[in-house]
Amino acid sequence: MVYLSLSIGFVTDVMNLATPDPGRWWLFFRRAVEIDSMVSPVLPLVLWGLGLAVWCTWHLRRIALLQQRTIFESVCRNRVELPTQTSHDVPHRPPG
Amino acid sequence: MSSPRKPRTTFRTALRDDLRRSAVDIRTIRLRLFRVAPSNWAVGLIVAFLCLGVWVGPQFGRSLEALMSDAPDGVPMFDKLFRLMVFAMLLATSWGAFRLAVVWLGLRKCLEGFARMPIVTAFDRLPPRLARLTQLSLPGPASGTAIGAVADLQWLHLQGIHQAKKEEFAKELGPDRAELTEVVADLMKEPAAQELALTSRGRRALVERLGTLHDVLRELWRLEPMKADVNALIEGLNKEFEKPVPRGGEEASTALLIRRGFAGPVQLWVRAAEEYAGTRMVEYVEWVTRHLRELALFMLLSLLLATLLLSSYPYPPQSLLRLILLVVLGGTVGSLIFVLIQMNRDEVLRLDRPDRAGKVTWNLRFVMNLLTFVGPAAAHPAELRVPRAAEIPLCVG
Repeated sequence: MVYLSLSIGFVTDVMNLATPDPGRWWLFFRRAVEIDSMVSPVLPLVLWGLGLAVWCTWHLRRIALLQQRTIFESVCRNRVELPTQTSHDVPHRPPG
Repeated sequence: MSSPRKPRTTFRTALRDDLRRSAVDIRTIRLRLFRVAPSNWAVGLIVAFLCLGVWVGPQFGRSLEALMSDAPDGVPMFDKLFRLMVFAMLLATSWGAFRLAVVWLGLRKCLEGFARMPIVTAFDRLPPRLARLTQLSLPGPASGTAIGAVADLQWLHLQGIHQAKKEEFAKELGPDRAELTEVVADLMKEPAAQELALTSRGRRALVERLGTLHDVLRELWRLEPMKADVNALIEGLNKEFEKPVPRGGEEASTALLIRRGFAGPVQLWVRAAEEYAGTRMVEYVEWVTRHLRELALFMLLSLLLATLLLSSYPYPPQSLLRLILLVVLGGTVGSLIFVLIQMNRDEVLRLDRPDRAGKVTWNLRFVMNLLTFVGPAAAHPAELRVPRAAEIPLCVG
């Protein structure tokens, strides 16, 4: 939400550049499109967007993996849920 | 006065404690993987970043955008956005490194539990291609399928052994354990084919099968050594001591010789059953390792993007921000190296070289893993050079 509101604020700032002097907006535009100039405000935004995409992809994959449960994990989970002794238990007798 | 009655030990309750201990560790790992804050120590990381924000905040200068805008408070939205981006990126990377270390510590505790079980000797005997899956290497082919196929084959072998030695099996266990013999016979009727695994009913059957197998194994471990094993051990040691230079008993303890022996049909079946159960345990370890791998890849990409972000726009105090990034980078690389080395040394994860447990093995795979994950991260400082003023084009107008 913070990111969204700041982004909307930035877009508003850019729109306001045209008034009262349209030249300011034109200068900003020239600088923005020169991606390789290292002063373009677009490049950090693109990199941040990529970062968000990586973050979201990782979380989606993490959640997809968390939905899987291996057989061994299920066995352990069942053991915790079982009562301490069941009617199927067989008494242990020493060998002999 | 009569002595207090001892609790009855049964073959279902005995291993349940082992599995219960594992269940606690497994639950902890799942929670650490699921929660946004994997442990209470995460609060410390947040506090550290808050303090950092309080310290660095007043030192932020004005960007090129600030020169052009007429924001009322003097700080244009772009500046606020950029500050947020830098801090979020650094926090996300640190968070990833912290999560990696915390999840690994959980897995290590779980592996310590595995190492205490008698089944640990079975890990040495698992196919080498399974060993690769438990290492923090780059994602390979569909690993779950490979493990399932191996487990199917092992179950078929287990059935074959039981079928071939059914009578001897019952005879060796004796009439006192007729019920156990019956449980094993019922268990061996379960089909090996995994078409069951595709449905929830089939999955439940697999879970029950492994649970019962563990119960049976535990009971059979308690019966060790069987009569045939003792005879085979005596015979083997006698033969060894008849040699001019006897070495019997020097290379392995008696307990290990008994554990690794398979003189009778029961011990042969136990050996194969341990391998099946071991494969299912490796399947779980591989699942956690897959999480760690995803996390390590995220950390690498996040570091790369954070470095590019700081280099992409001149923003004061650039040198201070790069110094902070360098510290984060050090923490990230440190946690990656810590996890890689610990995995390399782990007793259970050293499926391919059990004799090297506890020591770092500098083989090609380990070096490749280090280069894959630590190499790119460690190469970042080269990118952290502060540009000279002359290199920044004056496009402000």
